[in-house]
Amino acid sequence: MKTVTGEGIIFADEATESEAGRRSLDEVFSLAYEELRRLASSVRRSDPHASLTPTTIVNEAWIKLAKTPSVAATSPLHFKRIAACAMRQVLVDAARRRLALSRGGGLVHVTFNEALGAGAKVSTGREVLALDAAIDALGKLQPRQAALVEARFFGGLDTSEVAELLGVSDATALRDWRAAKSWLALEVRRSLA
Amino acid sequence: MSNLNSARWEQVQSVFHTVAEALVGEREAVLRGLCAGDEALAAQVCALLEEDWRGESMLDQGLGPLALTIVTDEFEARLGQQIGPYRILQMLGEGGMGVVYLAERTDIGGLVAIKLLRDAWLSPARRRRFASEQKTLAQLNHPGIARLYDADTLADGTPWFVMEYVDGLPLIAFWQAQSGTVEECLRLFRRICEAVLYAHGHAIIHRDLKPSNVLVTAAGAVKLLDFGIAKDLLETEDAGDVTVTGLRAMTPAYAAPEQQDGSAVGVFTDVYALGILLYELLTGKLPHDRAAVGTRWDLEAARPSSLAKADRFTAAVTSTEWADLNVLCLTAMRQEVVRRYQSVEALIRDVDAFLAGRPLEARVDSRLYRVGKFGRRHRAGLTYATVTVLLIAAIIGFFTLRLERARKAALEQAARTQRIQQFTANLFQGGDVSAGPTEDLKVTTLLHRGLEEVNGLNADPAMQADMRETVGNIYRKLGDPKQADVRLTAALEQRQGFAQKDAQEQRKLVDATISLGLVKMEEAKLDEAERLVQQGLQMCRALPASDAATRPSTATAMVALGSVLEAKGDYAGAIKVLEEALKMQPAGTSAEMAANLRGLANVQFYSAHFAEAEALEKRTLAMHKSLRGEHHPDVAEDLNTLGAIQHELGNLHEAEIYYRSALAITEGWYGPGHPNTAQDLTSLGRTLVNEKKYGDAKQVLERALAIQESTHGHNHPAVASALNELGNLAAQENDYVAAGARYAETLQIWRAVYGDHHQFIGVGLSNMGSVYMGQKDYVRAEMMYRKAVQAFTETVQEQHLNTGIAHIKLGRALLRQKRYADAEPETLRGYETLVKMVAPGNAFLVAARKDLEAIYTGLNRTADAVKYRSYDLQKL
Repeated sequence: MKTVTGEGIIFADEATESEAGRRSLDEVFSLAYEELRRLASSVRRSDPHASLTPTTIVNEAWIKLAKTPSVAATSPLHFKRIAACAMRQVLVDAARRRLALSRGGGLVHVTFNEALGAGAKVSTGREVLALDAAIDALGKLQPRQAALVEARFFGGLDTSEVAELLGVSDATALRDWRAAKSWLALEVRRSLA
Repeated sequence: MSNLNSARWEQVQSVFHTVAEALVGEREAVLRGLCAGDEALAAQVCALLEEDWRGESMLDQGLGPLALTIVTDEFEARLGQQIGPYRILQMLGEGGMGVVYLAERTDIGGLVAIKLLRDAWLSPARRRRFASEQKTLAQLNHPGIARLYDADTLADGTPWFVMEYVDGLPLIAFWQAQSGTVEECLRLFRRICEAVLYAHGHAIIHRDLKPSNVLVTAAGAVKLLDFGIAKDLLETEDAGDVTVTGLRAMTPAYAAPEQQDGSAVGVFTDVYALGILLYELLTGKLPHDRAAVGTRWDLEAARPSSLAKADRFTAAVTSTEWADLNVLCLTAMRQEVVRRYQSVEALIRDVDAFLAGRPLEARVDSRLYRVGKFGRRHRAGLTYATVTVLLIAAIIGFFTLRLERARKAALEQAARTQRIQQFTANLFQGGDVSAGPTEDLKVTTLLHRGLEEVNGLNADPAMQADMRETVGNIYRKLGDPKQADVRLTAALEQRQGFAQKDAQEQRKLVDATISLGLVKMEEAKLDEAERLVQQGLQMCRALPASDAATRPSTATAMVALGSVLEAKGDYAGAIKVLEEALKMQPAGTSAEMAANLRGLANVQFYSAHFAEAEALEKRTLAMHKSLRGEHHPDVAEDLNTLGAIQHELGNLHEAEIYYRSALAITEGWYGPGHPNTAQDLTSLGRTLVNEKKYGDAKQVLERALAIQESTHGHNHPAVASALNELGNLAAQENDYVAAGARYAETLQIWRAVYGDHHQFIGVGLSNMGSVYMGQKDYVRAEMMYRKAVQAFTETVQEQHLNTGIAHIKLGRALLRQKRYADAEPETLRGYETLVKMVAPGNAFLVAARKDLEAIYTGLNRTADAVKYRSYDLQKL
């Protein structure tokens, strides 16, 4: 005879909201890190089907975190912006650490050129830091464009999402992106030269 | 691009866009025109355009190449390094959290897997999670789970731990290389389930079950790996952690919907993943094509049978088997938690049912679900009758399936399914749905309709037999063994009459024979019960040995036999058969194992081996709780037995608590007028009498007696039990006439049911003796007690509690006659038996000490008298 009283497991929710918020943010960073690992391994495997835009983290993190009290009040778009920011931050932290490690000389430097598909470029920690600095500089000229780059490049938001987030038309978002992209490329090239 | 300010940057962009959008041949002219001699502006725009045309900026490459930054080389660099006593040999794999290496112990040799947390600096959450995995593994000690050996932290703060190295293939790869029959596949799957069930038993949910985390060795042994996001249910977590911890793994194909949308996870989350694994094993494919489905998880998967290629298994799988596999698999991976198997145990039960060719419980559940939904919608109208209706729905669902399985011809099956559907539909027809169940849904009405249906099925004897069994089993569950007997006897006769009996029918015949045997036992027709169960067991043993399904059902038949022998008072025979059955049970928690252990506990209890009985019963209770939840009649029955043990040991308060808990469950489940409720009432009444709570005891016992008599008639052990306790109550209140009448009635029933050779006859005689004692008729008392001692020594031997008590009672009858020398050996013998098995405060033990003091005083052996008195004083 089967029992007719079903049981479920209910979790105690004992954390304060601010503690939960702090942990949520901590988790966003962890997730950003893991998403970057995923992207990196796709590149290393030269997986032709792998998506190299970080949409996974942003979408899934939102789905998961949307129910936490600290995130519930956040709009999905704003949340995506937070996730994008976390991606950038984690990448920059990792790049700094990588540079510090290689300066320490304790590690053998291995490049992944052989493993990469044709046309793919390998970046170093210095490029990441140069890009980060360039985005900061762009933010001084036109904060909207820096936000756009962060959301689109690090957060994987598409044009219309970015446009909505920044309160501009799709056309403007596209033009901003095109100009910013070239400007940042130039800045990075100069700073690495 | 120095000297740039916001205004200038706007200007640069404006020119940039105009030129970029101009026709190719006109661009230079456009640029010159817009810059109007501002060479710096022209140069800035040119540089931007150059980048734009090149289209190779970092931003065009996407984040992928930059992400490589995060892949430092430190882990490659660790190859060959020494960590503690381990030397790293090669990388085994990477997960979201860490890197796993193969390493060898340099001191004592041997291969291990060592896991290091990658980038521990990143966040406290990662370090916490890594530590939690380590803690989880430390708790788990199961052959199906890779073991934790060692753990520490590197100088740079990187934590690591060492696990058992598993030389095996990921599940799906293993099965693809191996292949085999569908049974072999299911057995492999079952081993995974067992390991997961073990973890659940330790309140740990894996949450990331997928092929790469389930390795299978060449010998076919299963090892679960990566408890990296496992959840300890006993640990309270904050909301953020609860919702997020599962995220990173999120191997989305295996993640349950509740995991994906951040709802609470539970054992059912692993059930879902197990379902997907089974699906993949069966079909070679994943149920949900993630690329096509995107982020939608609400789609139901295609039936495995529709995807599996014909040559998937080395032996053909019948369409009936596929139908069950579909149900098994799809029930495990239901999107809604409530419709899924509620535990891995339930999943295992259905795997076993499949392997044994028995009907799946999942089919019952889907009916329950539908009825349950009704119940939830109309909670206000829910009554006891509804619970019974659910019960019936479950049983009918179960037997409906039995019917389905038996059929081979599709046409017949279709016709029958329709009839059965009509049957169940008719049962639930009538009554205003919005008002909840009405009079129309009363149990008797339902059964009446069921019986009409049965009689209308003359055309198909196989089905009629099935339906009779259904109705018979419903009656049995409703506590009406007489009605059950009628239906089951008819069904059995019908089955025996079938000219041709295939394997399915053979098994049904065995089941029917044993079921009827057990009903006979409930009716206290013990010889018939034994004959039937023995017959069932023999038929079971005669089934072809090659049939894998034979073994478990043989054990089940043996457990049934054990309980009949126990009821007959043949404790030695019962223990033998029950222990033999126990050896045949597969290890681990299962309903069959629990029934087996309970059988042994009962025999040990009646043999007065209370410590053994208690240990067995506690195991049974734990199993039932994990199988059935806290509020199931099986749990109640276990609590009742534990109460009885405490009562016999003299721990009356504990006994009362156990009995009251049991009663609450039983009454809640079966209602106030059910014989099972009456059984708990009798037990409670017994303890209340001993606690001298006479008023409460009387009320409880009289209610129990009324229920038992209306259920079973007069000559039934359950009636005798209630009468016996009422006799005890009267004796305690010094109403020896009433007590004598109750005891005499009791003894007469026991004689009718058990004959003279049963320990209960001893109990009856002994109680009769006590009535004479109360009436100060010591000679008659002595006579009764001597008969009682004889009855006990013949049935349960000298060392039994009841024999001991009878000796003490006989001693007292002799003491009252001042026959000190005759009394001394009796009381002493009883005392020495009891002192080994009961609590110091036990009333008989206290009485024996008092009597011994008086006896030795009477014999002028003052030193011995003082010994018992001083002992008494010390204890008090």
